[in-house]
Parts: sequence; structure tokens; C-alpha cells
Amino acid sequence: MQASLLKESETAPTLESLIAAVDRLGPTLRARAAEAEGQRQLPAETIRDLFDAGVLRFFIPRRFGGHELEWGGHLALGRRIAHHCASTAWISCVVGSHATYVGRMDPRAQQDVWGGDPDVLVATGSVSRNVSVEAVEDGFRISGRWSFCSGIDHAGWALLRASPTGDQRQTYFLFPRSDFRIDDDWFVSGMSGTGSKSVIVDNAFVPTYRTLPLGTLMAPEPPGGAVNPGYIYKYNFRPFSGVNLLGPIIGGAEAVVAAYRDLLEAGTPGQSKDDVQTQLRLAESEAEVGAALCLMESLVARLQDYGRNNIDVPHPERIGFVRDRTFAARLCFNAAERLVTSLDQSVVLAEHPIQRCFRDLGGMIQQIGVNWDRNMTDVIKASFGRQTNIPFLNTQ
Amino acid sequence: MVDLIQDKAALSLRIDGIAEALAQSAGDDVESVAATLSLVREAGLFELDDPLLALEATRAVGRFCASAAWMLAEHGEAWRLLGGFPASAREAVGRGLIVIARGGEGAGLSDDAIRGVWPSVGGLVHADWLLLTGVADASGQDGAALVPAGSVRAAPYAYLGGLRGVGWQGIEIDALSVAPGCWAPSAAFADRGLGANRLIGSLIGCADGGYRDYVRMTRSRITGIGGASVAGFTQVQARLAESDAELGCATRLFEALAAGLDGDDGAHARRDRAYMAHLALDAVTRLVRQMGAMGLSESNPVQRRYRDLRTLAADAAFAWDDHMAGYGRALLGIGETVDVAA
Repeated sequence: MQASLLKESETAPTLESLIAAVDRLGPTLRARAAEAEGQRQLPAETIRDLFDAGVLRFFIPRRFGGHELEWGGHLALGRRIAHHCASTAWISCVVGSHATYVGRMDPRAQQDVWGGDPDVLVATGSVSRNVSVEAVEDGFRISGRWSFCSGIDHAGWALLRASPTGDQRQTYFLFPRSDFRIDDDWFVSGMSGTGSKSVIVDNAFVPTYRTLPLGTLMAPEPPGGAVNPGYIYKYNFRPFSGVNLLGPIIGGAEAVVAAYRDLLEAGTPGQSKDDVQTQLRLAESEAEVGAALCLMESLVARLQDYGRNNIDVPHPERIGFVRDRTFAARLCFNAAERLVTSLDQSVVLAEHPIQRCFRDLGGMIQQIGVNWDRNMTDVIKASFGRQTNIPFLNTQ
Repeated sequence: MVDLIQDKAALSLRIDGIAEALAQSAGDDVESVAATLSLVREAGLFELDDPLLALEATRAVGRFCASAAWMLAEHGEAWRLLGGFPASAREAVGRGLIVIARGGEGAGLSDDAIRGVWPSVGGLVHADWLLLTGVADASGQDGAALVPAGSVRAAPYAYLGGLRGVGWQGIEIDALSVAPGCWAPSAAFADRGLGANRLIGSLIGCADGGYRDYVRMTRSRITGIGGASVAGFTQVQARLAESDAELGCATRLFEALAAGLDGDDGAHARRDRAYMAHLALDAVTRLVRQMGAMGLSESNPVQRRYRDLRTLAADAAFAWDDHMAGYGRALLGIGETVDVAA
């Protein structure tokens, strides 16, 4: 894709210019959605296009040539991209935001990742099996397998989480592409294009500076905060994690609603624009997605305010953050499900225009960050002052 | 005389100052509501010109007493409409409470005297003044008239299913004189009111009050058999969490609607208002059902909120079928259009 997507604003991209670039790129992403799903990874050209458009440079620090724009704008981009392809939105918004993790690490680790060509995608892995982490001189020797590593086919680096032997603290370890291999095990019903395959590491050495305990990464003033000025690299990171999912999810739901509306316009069996039930159904789904968007925009505004002013998020509001993002995801799925289940049986066909959108949405809301039972149980436990499984919600 | 409230911080301080008294006077009989309205009047909440402050005030009062919040919302609307009358009208009202009579039958003004029947007027029992709408003058020009509440003949008040403390009465007027400056054509005040948005604060406040009462009661509630803490039951926690999420979302919609008061009341706003009410009612209904037979008790504050909320949500401003079907039609290009990219 042409590198002219940001032509009018190459020197100082803004969120508005990135949105315009994404809108120009949208039809191309839509045309490639089926290919991405079939290949179970995004086409390489799409990754190139996302860097050229500035989307994947959103969180790369400015001192390496990235845009280092304010947190939150990436959700607007992810939402718009999801109107065309949910998997591309996921890579853009969720995987793209992993640059903030690296930006909080030791400056030498940042230099390793971005010191050459800064257009580098960083995949992460948290779900692991058969992991061993042995401390050696100046670093660690690591082996193991990590699953659900979205975008791994295109990743130059992988940030994988594990606990060193004898140390219960979860720690991130940063591996170059040469230190891991991919196990092609991503056969799924939705979000196939994210290529969230497993990686296997076999006795790789990681220098200490390319590691960071999870607690330090999330806490205020991590090592990278000394060299990157944006608040997303400096202050408490926990409030911001988990919200990234909402951009693609809301955009994905809007894609389903739009596809349904197109079906009505084109004429579809058993549904009529003039039928009041159809009108009510569509309006309710639109209202739900609109409410989810309202929640996301409110979350972004509040988080930006806390970030800009370096204010620790008060406990009741933390609870509200987890609650709101979880409820927004549920609203989106309910909205889409209502429309899809009202259609005739042709909706089950793989080539049906609404099929991929709906399957992708179903895939996204399976992510633990918006898991209803887990989060909502913890929301109430936290509001009663009890310990939860979400560290962000615990007062101690 | 208290100072006029100029901003949200001052409003919060004023409300905080009467919160304890509001909690004690909360109830849904006419006497309780009268006591609450007296507190509200003394706190200076009757003279709020800023629409956002007025909505915040109804929301805050609604947490304690939905009937009083409804009255405050109606008074605020009338107060804003009076801004289109000659200044003498507001001066006459002073710190009095005004209610609005809508849906007049055979209403008219001739020779400076009003005639007409208004079958259902809320809050007359509490009011000092009455703003009669739909009063056409001799030339047929539609307008409204301000009259002392005590000057009209009213039937004994009746209760609705909820908002009982408002009291509803039919009134009949036959040749009641209107003071100079107390009638104005509709065009003079057409854009001064909040219209269908006037009740959104009362509704969200009422739902929030129900939620708070439920949490307070559930924290200390134990089962009748076995003495287990109800708060420890997973299903109770799950239902509370869902209601909490719905109310949180409804509150964001309320804030978005309040922020958009300057815009027209288009299909999008009507959709969000109806959906906000839907979420709030759903949330409180779940909680009152969870309480089992205890939730049926007339005196249970959650039951009272539930009754009040159902009544508030029945207002045409929140009419689900009308607004949602209308929005659906607009989306599909039938009738009014909406910007789908918004």
C-alpha cells in the first residue's frame, strides 16, 4: 500500500489525520478480510499498510520515530477499522498497544526493539505451559510454550510472561524473533485473522534488562518512564489495560448492525423495513451499541483526565471501569445476537455477509478482560471490600 | 433568603446540607412529600435557571423521594417557561411552587377570564401557583396562563400506582380572572423548557436511590432459615452487579443527554432517553424481585422506588414503542432521517 496515506500530515500526525488515513484504508481492509480469515493471519501487506498509515506507530515513542499519541485515540481507530475487519482492528488496537509495555521497560530493551527499523510489531503471551525460567549470570534461561499470541506471524519481538524459579512474581521477558518458533495451532471460529498462535521457546537467554516484573511494569515510574514523556509510559498502568478491547468490540458490533441494515435495504426473507417489529429490533440494537459507545467515551475521557493529571484512580471508580467495559461488551454482543437470530437460516452460510462479523464479535467477547462472570463477580466483591482476582480492584 | 445557586459545586453543598433531613422525610404520602418540598424550597432549589443545575437537583432529590423530584422537575419547567412571560409573572410567584396543568379540555381565555377542564393535574395539593397550558385567547392564539393554585375548584386527589405523594386531581375553572401579565402566547416561551428531558434527572435519581437502598438493606440482611448473610450468595452478587452495570450505563446516557440539551430532541435523543429509562427500570426490577416476598412490602423502600420508577418511566418522554420504532424507521429511511455515522 502507498506510504502516502498520511501524506498531508507526515511530520506531525494527529488523531484526526490517522482517522482520515484509516478511512481511506478501510475498503482495502474490507476486501482482504476473507483472505485474512482464510490464511488465519493478516496479509503482510496489511501490516505494512497499518504502519504506513501511522496506526501501528501510535504508541511507539517519538524518540524512535513513532507518534506517541495520547492513549484513547487508538480505541477510536480500532473501532473504525473493525467496521471493515475485526481481526485487523484487534491487531491495530490491542497488539499495537503492546508498544506501551515496551516503552515502560529499560531503555536498553527499547533500543533493542526499535533502535533499527522502528516499524516493529510486539506480540505478547500470558497463557503458558511447561515453562522453566532459570536465573543465570546477567539474565535468565527460558523454555516453554505460550498460547494466544495475536499477530505473532508478523511480530519482530515477543513479550512473554512467566515466573522465575523460586520467585512467585510474574515477570515479562522480551524475546527477538530468532529466539522463538511458532506452533500453528490457531484454528478457531472467530477472529481467525488475528493469527493468535502459540510460540515455543527452547532454552533461550534473556538479559536482565529485557525483563520486568509485572508489578513494576504496571506501577508508577517504571524504568522506561524516565525516557518517554507520555503519561502512558510513566504512571500507574493498570487502569488503562483491559479497555483496549472496546474499540474493536464496539466497531465489530456496529459492523453487524450495518450489515443487517444493508440486508433490509437489499431485501431479505421474512424481514421488512415496514414491519414495526423489525424497526423495534434494529432500534434496540442501535441503542445498545450507542450505549456501549457512550460508556467507552466516558471511560476514555476519565482515564485521560487521570493520566494527564497523574491522579491515582479512586477505588470506587476502578470498580466502575471494570464494570463499564464488561457491560459495554455485553451490550454489543446482545445487540448483534438479536439481529442475527432474527434472520432466516441462510445466515449460517459461511459466505453470508453477516457471518464473519458475528463470529468475530463472539470471539472478541471471549477475552478475559471482558468476561462477564469473572469480572462482575469481582466487581461486587470489590464493592463489598473483599479480595478479588483482579489486582486492580484490590485495596491491599 | 438563601443565595442563588450558581454552579454544580454550590448545588452539591446545598444538597449535602439537607441530605440527612431529606432521608428522614422520604416517603410517598402527600405529607412526607410536603415536608421534603419544604426542605427543597429552603435550600433554594426552586429558583434554578440553569437547566443542567435543575436536572442535577432533580437527580439529587430523586435519590430520596421521587415524588418530590417530580414536583421539582415540573416546577423547574414552569419556572423556565415563565421566563417568557412579563417579569411581573415571576415576581408574583416569588419562591412559590408552580405546577403545570396540561391536556385542557375546552380551555380558553375571553374578557380576561379563563374557562376549561383539566382532568388530571399532578401536585396541585402542594402548589402555590398553577400554569395552565392550552389556553387560547379570543383570537385563537394558543398560550398559557398563571393563576393562584387556591383559586381553582379541584376534585379530591387520587393516587397513581407510584409517585403517590404527588397527588393527582381533576380541576375545573369557570370564569377565573387572570391578572395582567399572567397570560402569554406559546411563541413567547416555546424554546425555554426542557420538554421531554425535564424528567430524566428525577428518573435516574429514583433508580439510584432504589439501588442504594437495596445495597444498604442487603449488607445487613440474613436468611430467615439458617441465618446466612444474603450478601454472600453468588446469585445475589451477580444480580446486583448486573443492575449496577445497567445503572452505570443509564447514568452515562443521562449525562450525554444533559450535555446535549442545546440540540433538538431528534430521533437519536429520543432513542437514548427511552433506552436510559429501560436500563434503569430493568435494574431496579431485578433488585426488587431478588428480595422475594420482602420486596412486595408496601413500606419496603426498594418497592417504593420500583413503583415510582415505573410511574416515571410511563411518561411519554420515555415511551419505548414510540421512540424506538420511530428511530428504527428513521434508520431505514422511513420518515425522519438520522445520521447513522453519529
